[in-house]
Parts: sequence; C-alpha cells; structure tokens
Amino acid sequence: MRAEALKGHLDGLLLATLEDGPQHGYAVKEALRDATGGKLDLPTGTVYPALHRLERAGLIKGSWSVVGGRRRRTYELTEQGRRSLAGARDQWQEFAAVISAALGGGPWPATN
Amino acid sequence: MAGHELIERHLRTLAERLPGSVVDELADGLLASYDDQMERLGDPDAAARAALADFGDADAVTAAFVRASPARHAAFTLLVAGPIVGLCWGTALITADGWAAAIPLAARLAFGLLLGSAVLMLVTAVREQRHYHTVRLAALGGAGTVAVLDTVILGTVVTLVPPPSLLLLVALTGSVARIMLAIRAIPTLITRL
Repeated sequence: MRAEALKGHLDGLLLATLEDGPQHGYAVKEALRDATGGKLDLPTGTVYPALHRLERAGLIKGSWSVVGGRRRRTYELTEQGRRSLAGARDQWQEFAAVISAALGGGPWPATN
Repeated sequence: MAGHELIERHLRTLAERLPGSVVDELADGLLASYDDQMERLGDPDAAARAALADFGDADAVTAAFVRASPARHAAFTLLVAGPIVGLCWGTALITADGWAAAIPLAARLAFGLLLGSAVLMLVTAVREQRHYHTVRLAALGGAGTVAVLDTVILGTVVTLVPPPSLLLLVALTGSVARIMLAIRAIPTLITRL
C-alpha cells in the first residue's frame, strides 16, 4: 500500500496498535504490519517521529526502561489518546460508508 | 552495543544529526529489527542489510524528525508573523509625527542588523532538513532575538512617548503578541526534543 494513502489516518493507526497495552516503536511498526497482513509495512525509522508527535500532543505517554542492555522507550495510550482513537474510528467508518456507497452504487453516469 | 558494522555506521550518522535520547530509541528499534532478520535469514550481512532497508535511510529519518520538531513549527510561526508586525511598524513609523526621527541612526542600524540575523536564523530553522540540533539552535536564537527586538521597540516608544495613534496601537499590540509567542516557544525549544 502506498504511503500517501495513509495521509490523515496514520495517527489513528498508531494509536490503535497501543490499545491493547504499551509497546515500543519497533513493536508498534510490527503490530501495524501484522494487523494488516503485511500490506502496511512502514519504514521503521519514520514511525518514531510520528510517535514523538503523538506524545507531544498528549495522546500517548512514553517511558524508558532497559531491556537486554539497551535503552527502550515504551509508549502507552493516555485518556485523551483513547478518546482520539474512538473519534478516528467513528470518522473512518463514516468516511468508508460514504465512499463505499458511492463506489458500489453502480456505474457512474456518462459524462459525454 | 551488539550488532553489525553497517548498523553501527548508520547509528553514528544518526547520532551526528539527532539528539542522544532519540538515537538511543532508534538504536533499540534498529537492533530489534536486526535480531528479527538474523532469526529469519541467519546471515549477519544479509540481516543487517534487510534491517537497514526496512528502517529507512538516515536522510529520510532525520527529515521526518525535523519536520515534526516543535523548533521548526515555532520558527515558522514567527516567520509568518514577521511581515505582519513589520508592516504595522513600517506604516506607524512612516506616518509618525516626527517622533521617530529622535532615534539615532546607529540604533536604527543595530536594530536592522539584529532583525536581519533573526530572520536568517528563523529561515535556517525552517529550511534545514538534516541537522536537528541546528534547527533547534536556530529557532532558539531567532525567537530570542525577536523577543529582544520587540522589547527594545516597546521600550523606545515608552521612552519617547509619541503622540497616540491607531497605527501605533496596532503595531504595539503586534509586538506584544510576538513577544508572548517567542517567550512561550523558548522553554519548549530548550527542554523538549
């Protein structure tokens, strides 16, 4: 799937990967790939700036730990993040319903 | 740090461009990816190449961090506000009733030089793509200089007590707003990534 298709939806997708519990950046990326059957495989390095942006917006909260001798930053949803995720889901369902209705409603009228 | 020479080199490049805590986090992700690829491919060189391909090149990763940085956003806001406040002051000074002539030429030149350097720093913060530290320092310098310049011009007006006018009031309001904008941005630029 092309990255441009994600415009406006990346935040919701990242928040959804944290719904079941805290994850570190690489695990978020892997969760996104697994949840979409490998169709959404973002470059690992570009997931982190998006997570930092969500943290600054107060939607997720990060904390450091040491795992296997490496410093690891793990993220979890905040209450505001849960509300934002619910909103993103509602908006997507509404958008998908509208587009599905338009695309699945038979052939478009001829323009000439 | 257990890994591969290619991974280490990639991390060194990132360390030259990004803050230490960000590099620690990226290193964890890249090494976790390398471990996964090692499990899958069994060959260190192939695993390192696969992990790096999956990670993205240093330019793309750095640019993504720079685009999302609060420093760049603050610099952009101040740059947009600049011409608006400048136009207000320009109009107020041109139409001033002679009071602006009391400002010495040296002071005007110094003000112009500082203003030029502030603009240069803010433009650097907005345009730089590869060095996060440069963006942060340039935005900090630009915001600080803008706050000083606006404070100086407010002080000048208070000292010279020019005849009140609507244009002067608008220009003063613009400067106060910009000082508040810069002061609000500075702690973020110092403490946050």
